[in-house]
Amino acid sequence: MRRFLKAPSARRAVALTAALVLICLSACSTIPRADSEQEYIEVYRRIVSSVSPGSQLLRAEKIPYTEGDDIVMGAALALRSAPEDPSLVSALPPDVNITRATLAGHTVDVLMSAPYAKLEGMEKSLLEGAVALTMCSLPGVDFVRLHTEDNSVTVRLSSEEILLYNTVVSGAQAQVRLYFPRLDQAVMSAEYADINPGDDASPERLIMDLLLAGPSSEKLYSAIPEDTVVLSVYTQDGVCRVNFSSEFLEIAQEDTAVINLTIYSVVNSLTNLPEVDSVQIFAQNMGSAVLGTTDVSRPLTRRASLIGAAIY
Amino acid sequence: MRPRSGIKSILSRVQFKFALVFLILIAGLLVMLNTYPTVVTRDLVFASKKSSLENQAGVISATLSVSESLTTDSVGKAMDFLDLRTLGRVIITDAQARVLYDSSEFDYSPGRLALFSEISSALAGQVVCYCVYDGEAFISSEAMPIMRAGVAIGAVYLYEYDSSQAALISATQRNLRNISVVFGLLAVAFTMLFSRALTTRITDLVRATRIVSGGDYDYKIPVRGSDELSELGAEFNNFTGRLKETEELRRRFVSDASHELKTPLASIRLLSDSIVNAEYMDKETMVEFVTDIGTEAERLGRTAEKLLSLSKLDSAAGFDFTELDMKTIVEKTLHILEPLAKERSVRLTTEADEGCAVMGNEDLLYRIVFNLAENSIKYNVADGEVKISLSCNPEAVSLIVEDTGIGIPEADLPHIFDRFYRVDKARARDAGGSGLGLSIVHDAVLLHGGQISVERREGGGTRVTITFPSYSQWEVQS
Repeated sequence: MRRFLKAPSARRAVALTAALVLICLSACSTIPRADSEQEYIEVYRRIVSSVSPGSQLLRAEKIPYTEGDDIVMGAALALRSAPEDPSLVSALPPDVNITRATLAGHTVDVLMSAPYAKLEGMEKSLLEGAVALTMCSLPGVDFVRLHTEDNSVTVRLSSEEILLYNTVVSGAQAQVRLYFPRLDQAVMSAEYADINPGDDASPERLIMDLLLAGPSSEKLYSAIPEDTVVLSVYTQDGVCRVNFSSEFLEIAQEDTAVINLTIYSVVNSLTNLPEVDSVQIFAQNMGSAVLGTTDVSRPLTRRASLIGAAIY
Repeated sequence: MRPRSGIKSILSRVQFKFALVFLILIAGLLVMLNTYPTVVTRDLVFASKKSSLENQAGVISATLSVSESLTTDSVGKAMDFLDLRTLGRVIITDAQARVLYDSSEFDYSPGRLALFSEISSALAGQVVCYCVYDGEAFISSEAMPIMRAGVAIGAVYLYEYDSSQAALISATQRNLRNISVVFGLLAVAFTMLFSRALTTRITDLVRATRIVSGGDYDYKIPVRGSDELSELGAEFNNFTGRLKETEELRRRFVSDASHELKTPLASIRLLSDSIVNAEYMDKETMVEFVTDIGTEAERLGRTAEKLLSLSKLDSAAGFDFTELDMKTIVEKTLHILEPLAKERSVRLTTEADEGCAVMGNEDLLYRIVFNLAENSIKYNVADGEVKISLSCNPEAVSLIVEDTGIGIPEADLPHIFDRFYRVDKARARDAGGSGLGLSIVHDAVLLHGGQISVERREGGGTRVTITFPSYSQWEVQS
């Protein structure tokens, strides 16, 4: 061993290894623990060289921001900034700016500069899409309202209203949107699931089965009581009748807002089907026509205002 | 000589080359079979889908372009009227890419922004179509603007997912691939069998050549089949047979030659020993013995000269050929033989045409005539005749030497020109012959491009007929 260490090549190797270890140690101390502290916001950009069919028009770019800053204003400034990736370009045309962006409740109010009123067509829609998707990716934001100073142009959007690509792949398999209440707030969010409708199962039945099964995302929950069974579900003249078993009535113990959300999550999920215009809820042994503060004696129509940003 | 393994490696390379070329061709064919039909079919489907989608989009766009305004209701009514059921998804948008109609059965979309690149292109006034085959299905999308007064007021987006056509292509591809595999394996198997069979026969031939060149001339190749290689084998056997004959001839010639040389030498030895060992010999006897020695020495000399001539004829080298008149040669020869003829009481007659020219060597031609005429005189009867006839036509010159002599037995006629062949051995040696004279005549005639034949003459005797190509004929040929 001693003779080995005496050899000059061995000494060199040992010295190099020691140096490497030292460098690593010093580097470790200087690398900021960014991954746990550094936050990113997703800023949506226009893809420049897109026009190959099948590709998207908007793509998200991760921009870091430091905690404590006004995240909404930060996002607004990021939208205006030039992207790092040369294949992307800002979704805001050169003469259009975001004057102010404030968060009120779950809605971000975005004040646009005057040239926004003159935008039209695809350019306008891409701008609105990018702003909506960017803002709704921020925690706590579900809706975006763009407007000019004089309110001559007002647009209200949620991220669910933006289609970036065709989600329907084939005729046999279908992608449906299911709504579940959000844990942190009083809105519902969409989850995507695949169903295979056929002779033995109608789409309404499959959607109800999935709703009863509950969400896959941790940020969502289902307030439908356990052991509830859907006895029947069918559509007639645009009205879809859902017959729950008596266990469903246990939901009356929940908060009224939760009851409302749950009922409308069923309504919104089913009204995604084109032939369903409204949904009427029935339950075995249901006495009164009111659950919580929601009147279920008549068919209910879709309420988009309860729908927040989608969970992907 | 290359070692066996070397030869084997060369053969296996021939076999390998043959098999490789064949297999490359087959492989190329199989690759073509597996790619070209699929590509062509796929392209055909692309073209048909593009045209069909464009037609449908055109119908929708034309229908909607005449409605007063594009709203969810008006578009919904128009689409119900059109009653399109064949497509995967139809989306109609307004000029802002907001969805007015969506045929999707499970995803309620009106009111949403459809930010598709196809729709963006359509709203910019372009008609786009995109078709791709991913092995499972043909996925096609088409977008067309809805124009009114030159302005795009909306867009039509069609999307189709066709897995049944793709399944057909996949099935065909699978079948083609299976066929290719089977065929490929068969081709490999047959190639190996056939090339092995081919090179085995070549190897046999090589081995046979080596055996024969080692000295075993009796070795024959078994001849199988009737193709070129069988022919080669048969020719090889003929060739070795002839080699054997030639070798035997050579051996016999050498043996005969040495015998012919030894015999006079033995006589000389005997005679000289007798003189040396005799205690007393009178002068007459001694002169007789020494004369005999001289005679034998002369014979030895003649034999040696003839052997040398034959050897020169064998190599066919160093003879000058010129244009010669046969008549002159015949007359000169007979003139020299007159004393011998007179001595044997044989009459010499000539019948010669004028102008019989041949291309030949003077010495050889003289030798031919001389040998034949001398034989005719020597083996003649008393008061016999030797007649030389010379005739010619534009193509050939004919020389006939006939005699009224003792003739040649039928059995000996075919061998008369063989080297050292004598009809009556005892008599010929007395007459001083070595059995080489006629061989020289025969070989010399052949060297001149002529033919020689011998036959018994009616009424007794021998006739030798020689034909040479005439001088003009020789010129034409060369």
